[in-house]
Amino acid sequence: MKSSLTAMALLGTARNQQLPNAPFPIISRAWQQLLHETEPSVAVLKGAALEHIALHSGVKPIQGVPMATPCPVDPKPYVPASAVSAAQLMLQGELKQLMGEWIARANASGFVAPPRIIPELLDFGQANVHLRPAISALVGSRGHWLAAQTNQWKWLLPASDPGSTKGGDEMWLTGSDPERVSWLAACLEADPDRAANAIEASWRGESPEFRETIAEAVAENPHPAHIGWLEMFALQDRRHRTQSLAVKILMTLPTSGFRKRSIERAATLLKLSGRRLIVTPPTHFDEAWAADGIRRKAPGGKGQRGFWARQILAMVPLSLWPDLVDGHDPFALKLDPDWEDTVRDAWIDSAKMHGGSATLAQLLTYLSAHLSPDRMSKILSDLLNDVPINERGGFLEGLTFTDRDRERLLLNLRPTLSAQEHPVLHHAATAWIADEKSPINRGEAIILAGCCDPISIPAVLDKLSKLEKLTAAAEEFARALEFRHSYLQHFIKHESL
Amino acid sequence: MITKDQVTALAPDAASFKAGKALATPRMWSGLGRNGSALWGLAQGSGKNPYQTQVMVGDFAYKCSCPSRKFPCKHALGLMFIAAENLAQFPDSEFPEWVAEWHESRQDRKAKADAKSKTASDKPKDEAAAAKRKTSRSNRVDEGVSFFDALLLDLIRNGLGQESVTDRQAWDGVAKRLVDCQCTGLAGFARRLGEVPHSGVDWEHRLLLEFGSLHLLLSSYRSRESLSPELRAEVEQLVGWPVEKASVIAAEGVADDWFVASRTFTENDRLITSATWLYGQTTRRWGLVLNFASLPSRPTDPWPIGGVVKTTLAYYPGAAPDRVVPKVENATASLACELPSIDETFVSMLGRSAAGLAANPWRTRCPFLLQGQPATHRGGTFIVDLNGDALPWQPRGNDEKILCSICAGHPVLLAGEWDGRMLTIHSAADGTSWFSLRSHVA
Repeated sequence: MKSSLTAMALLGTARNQQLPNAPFPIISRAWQQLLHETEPSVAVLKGAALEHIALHSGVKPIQGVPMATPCPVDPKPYVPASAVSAAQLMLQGELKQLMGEWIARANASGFVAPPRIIPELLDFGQANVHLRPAISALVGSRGHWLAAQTNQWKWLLPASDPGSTKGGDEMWLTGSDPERVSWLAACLEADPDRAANAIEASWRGESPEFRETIAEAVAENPHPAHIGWLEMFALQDRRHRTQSLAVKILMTLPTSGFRKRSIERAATLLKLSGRRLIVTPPTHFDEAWAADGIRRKAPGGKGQRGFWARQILAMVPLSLWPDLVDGHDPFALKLDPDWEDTVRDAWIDSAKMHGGSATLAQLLTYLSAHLSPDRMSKILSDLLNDVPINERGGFLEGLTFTDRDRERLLLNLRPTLSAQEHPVLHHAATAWIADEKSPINRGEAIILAGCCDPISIPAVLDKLSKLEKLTAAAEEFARALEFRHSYLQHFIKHESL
Repeated sequence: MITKDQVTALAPDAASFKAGKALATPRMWSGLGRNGSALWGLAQGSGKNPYQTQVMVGDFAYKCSCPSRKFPCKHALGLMFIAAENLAQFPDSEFPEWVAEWHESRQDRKAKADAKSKTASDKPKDEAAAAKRKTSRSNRVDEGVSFFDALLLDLIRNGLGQESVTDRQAWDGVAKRLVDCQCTGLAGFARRLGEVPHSGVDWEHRLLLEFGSLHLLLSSYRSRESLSPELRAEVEQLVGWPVEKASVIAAEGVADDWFVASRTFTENDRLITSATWLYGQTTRRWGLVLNFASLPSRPTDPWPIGGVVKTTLAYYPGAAPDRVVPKVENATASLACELPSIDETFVSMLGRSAAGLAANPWRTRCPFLLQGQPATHRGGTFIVDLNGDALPWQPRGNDEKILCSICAGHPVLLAGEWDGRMLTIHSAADGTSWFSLRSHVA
């Protein structure tokens, strides 16, 4: 607000000496006195003083400001204050590798995050996609309310009812990507046919990224209603992940033509001779295969027949392989030495595509007996990526590796270990601390500290305290263990109630 | 009682904070112990002998045998962090010799200082010399006042469109000249004027109003003999005349259970000022405690935010005074079991603010403690009280998100300041705990 007095002051009283009227009636009388000032600049300053007081003492509050609908009260208790301070440090970057555990423990203890750290937690979820489901649970109704109010953290927004007045099909047609994902998730569960029709109608116009998002959503909720668009469009999608998801979904649907064709196609390549599995890769490319997502051109340096065979065999989930080999355990068979690598690669591809923990355990046992530790280490990260961290230890414990290889596996896969159930891995997580020449660096030390069984922390710290000298990495390991120990106290107490 | 927030506030910089946190584990220490408000321990460093570190929790005095030049050092911070986390790590014990030595030397120094102060006050004053010094100072101050007023008049005569009005360095030059004239208070005004042209839209209007207020102060100073004693004391302090702390402490104080509502930090020319607002739960009076330190040190604030300290505060002389000093040294705070019960609204707060301005037209901030929640309206942010009245709010950094999360559509107890145009929120009730929105480590 540029008052008349300000305009006069900007110009300067040397150019303009005409004092304006009083800006407020309440100071009119005092303002009149200014007209008698001999020095115009003094009059302006005195006027400014009057205006200053009038403005600052005459403020009235505004009324009618619309208020947000209050958030429903969450009945769960807040995380205890001393555990919260640990989270605040991690959210600021200190020992942040341990944040995933803190969140999981807080959830398991039945707590919700106190309001003051919810924005930081949501920002952390923005950057750490794999932690979003856990953070979504921890921030409770308040976090969801906050995301809706501030229009931030859209990944947290709840799924809407597809038939509700708040959106309906309009949401799918015109909403933002997060709104459409919410609509889709709800519709897939409530009305799969309607969801399938909507997807089919819009598929061609979707971006490659959103097609992958659609395929991921349907993979969580497969239904025969989706066979049509999956076979027509998704199987031939140029995005590898979308195509893999289509294969995965269709192989779970018994009425899918693709599933029948894939099993038949794979069966034509395999023949049992006693306990020997003979593989005969195709000699030519059938054009009909392209519609099922099989690629014709092999990458440079790879033979075509092996490339086709690998794709064909990989499309069949490992759980269905016994049907292909007359009920035998495929991992117990002797593989055709000419195509041994092709079959193993196909099994690895199949495990990555289709998942399944029972067959994965069998495959890992087989591979560890047949592959070099170096090769094994490389594929384990891919194979166990989708396995929950508290289940990874079970897959790794029985595998044959050196301690150094185990360290690398622990650093890549970050499993949660039990000193009792995973003694070999647990030993690998801590044995290096006594080795002054260990290549483990400080960041890696924190990750290894995060793998340790909480119950064993006091014993490990005791062991550390007896060492004459600690490397910088071992110091960091100790610090991370102490830090974990300090916040776990609060959660373990509550979990045991 | 010591909290992590207090220790964090003491860290001279982020590196010290990090180093202190790294030492905040009993594994790095031996010989931990305490006796009353003294804590001690031996920290293993890179050398053969451990460092001897000790801290007095009451006034956060500390001593460490490490060679660090940071104040406090990482060992003292680490020791205090351990105490804040779990005081039980420090068993009650007799002072070891190295702790007893420092303790005794501190007591000796204090006794000597008290004796010196008594001797100085008992010593017959050289009245003539004192009067001469006062006259000399008064002349210098008059010079500074005249210079500043002449400058303002000149700027108004020639117009606020001049380049020098928006030149920060020019205002810094004015501030330096005022300091030379022993007008340290006016120097502060000059520095603030230098910031106004860079503070957003409509700065010209705000600058003019500041000029007007300043001219009123300078004129009032020149005619201070005619003012009431309270207003005269206010005007003299604003210009820069110091008040002896001892005389303030000697005056009658106000006893109450004081809630530590908020604390903010400002830095100017390497001087850090902490400003802590205290709210008397029975008297409903406000008191502002100011503490100072020169970088790299941080001010020592023994009372944690959200705490309650049962003590007597003495007010500095002035019109509608806010600034206080504790009459009792080392009064300790306890964490509030319940947050204060408040029935203030924006209407009553604005009434208080207006009454304060009527008594002291240079009063720039009015503290408040009331139930409210944030809201947005027509592109602006507001705080709305229980009656639905709203005042504009200027959130800083992540304040808006944090306060939205804390309130979630429900009013909560908030503490902050009103400057006549905008609210600033410093603290809020987060469940049953009191949370400060202000960060401490630079």
